[in-house]
Amino acid sequence: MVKNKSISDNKLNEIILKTNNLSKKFGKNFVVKNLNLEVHKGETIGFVGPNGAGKTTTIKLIAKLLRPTTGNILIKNKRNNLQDISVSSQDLISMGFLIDIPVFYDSNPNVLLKHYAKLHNYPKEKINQRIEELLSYFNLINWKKKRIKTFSKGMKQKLGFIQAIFHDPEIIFLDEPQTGLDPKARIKIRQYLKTFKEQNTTIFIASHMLREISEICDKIAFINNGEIIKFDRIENMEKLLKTSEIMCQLLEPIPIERLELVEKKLNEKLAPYLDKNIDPTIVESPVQYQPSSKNLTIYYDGRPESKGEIFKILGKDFDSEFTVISFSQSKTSLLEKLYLEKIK
Amino acid sequence: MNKKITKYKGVFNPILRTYFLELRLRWKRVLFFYFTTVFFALSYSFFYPYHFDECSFYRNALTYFRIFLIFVSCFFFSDIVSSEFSKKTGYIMFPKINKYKLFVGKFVANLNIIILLVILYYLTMNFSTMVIYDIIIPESYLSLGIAIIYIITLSTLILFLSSIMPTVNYTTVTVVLINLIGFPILEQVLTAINQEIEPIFSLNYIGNLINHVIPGGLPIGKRWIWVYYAGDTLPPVKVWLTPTIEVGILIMSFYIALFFLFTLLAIKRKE
Repeated sequence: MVKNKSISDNKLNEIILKTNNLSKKFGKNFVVKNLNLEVHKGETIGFVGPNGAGKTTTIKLIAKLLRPTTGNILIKNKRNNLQDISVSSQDLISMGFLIDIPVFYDSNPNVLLKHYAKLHNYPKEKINQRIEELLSYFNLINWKKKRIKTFSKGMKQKLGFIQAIFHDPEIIFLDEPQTGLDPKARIKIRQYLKTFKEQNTTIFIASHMLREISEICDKIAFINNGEIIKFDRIENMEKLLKTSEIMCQLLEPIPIERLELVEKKLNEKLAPYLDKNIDPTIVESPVQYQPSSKNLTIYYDGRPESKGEIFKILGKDFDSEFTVISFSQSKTSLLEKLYLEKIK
Repeated sequence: MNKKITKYKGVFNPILRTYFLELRLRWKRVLFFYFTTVFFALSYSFFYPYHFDECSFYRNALTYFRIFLIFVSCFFFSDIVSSEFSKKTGYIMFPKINKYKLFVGKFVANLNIIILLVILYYLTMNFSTMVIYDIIIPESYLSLGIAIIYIITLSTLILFLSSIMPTVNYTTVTVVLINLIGFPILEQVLTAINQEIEPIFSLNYIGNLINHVIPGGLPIGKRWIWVYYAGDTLPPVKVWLTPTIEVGILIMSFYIALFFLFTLLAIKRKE
């Protein structure tokens, strides 16, 4: 067991992608500026930033759709060495790309997926089975032989995702994979990515959707004006923000007439454990109640002991005021706060 | 040995796959133009009575066919490079296949289609000559050879334009303008400036070889002197008719290499 763990740790330490002072200039403007990034095997990286931050350009540089102005990109090859992709793209580990909203040749998914599979040297005897499996999973099986021209934006996006993962690549680059998708398709893509993650596949996602990022990614790179502002594990980012939150789902709503009193009491009782340094422009108060969703959000100082005390107080001192039916810690809202803090 | 075979497979397999996909994607267009070509040849043969003998019959048919070829080539070559970038189909393709291999596969597929179309036209014309005049003109095969080199030159020009123009429409309009208006005007201008300079740069001029290698056409590799009888004020005008076959082939080969080189540079620049 210990041996397995060390193997897996070694694998995780293995650098699979590295950028050295990567820059791309369009005219006089740097779209990507001195980007230094190290991605290890099995990591899931979220690339977060506003429009025009340089996310798509970075992926295009990795995909060799663009040539860097300066710097280089190293990707692991089949001989386990890092290889400069500007020198040669041969023998690199298999990669899958979904860039922008995909545009396909005027044909049908069956023909094109077969073509892509052959280009990736996917085993011939398994191609049909794989097409059936993926098209069925993403509810496109009835469209297998229909012209892609007639597809909706969401269907094209699903097909774009399928072509990116078809050959079980070792590293997947997804640029806004959730664009145009309905909630069901989003969940399916998320689930599929989780399966890939379990198989130690490296995933690189550029997205605005912090919820998706928080659920899938281990690490986040905040990018703005072509520069990485922060690149770290999500947990470390939380520590950096020095705040944590607990979301309590209440059974019944707090009566309006008692709301002010309850909030005052909560602030008093929980005062030693609440986050005193929260930015009022990001969070108005460390204790917040949303009547519509019956949610009580408490921003505490992040110490596990404080968390335990808060649970005790809520159960002991407020049992006559409300009943907490579940606790959760949302990474999303934390990420949103981080996002707002980092990308100003 | 095995390593070598694997290496060659790695180079040629993606090109072959692209080649077959391109044929598959183009089949409707191919059928339409093949049908149009045969229809055009047969209509000309049996419903256009203005020819004196089998050679003038054949030559005239080729004159019209050259114009037809310019338009058909645009339909097949003008989107090879530009669509991958402007329509963004390349975003899916380029990470899967080296872009040069992709373009080679597409180019060769379209070139094969258009060469077959040219052969089809000549075969139909030979069939018509056989039916009408009971003869096959041997020089038609020479003309076919020149036509094939001409179409390769034209296709490389379109490929180059396709790599610098933003869209297919721009490419098509430019190709038509260059070939039907640009080159003839330049020839006239050159004649006006200096009659001694042969307009070997002009694809239109070189293309004259296609129909004039058929006997009875313009004298190959010679010049005619137009004499204007407008008093003594105007000197006689010497007109370049066609280049020699050797010069024609040489210039076309030069153009093919040049346009390929320019295309390569243009694609690199697109990055």
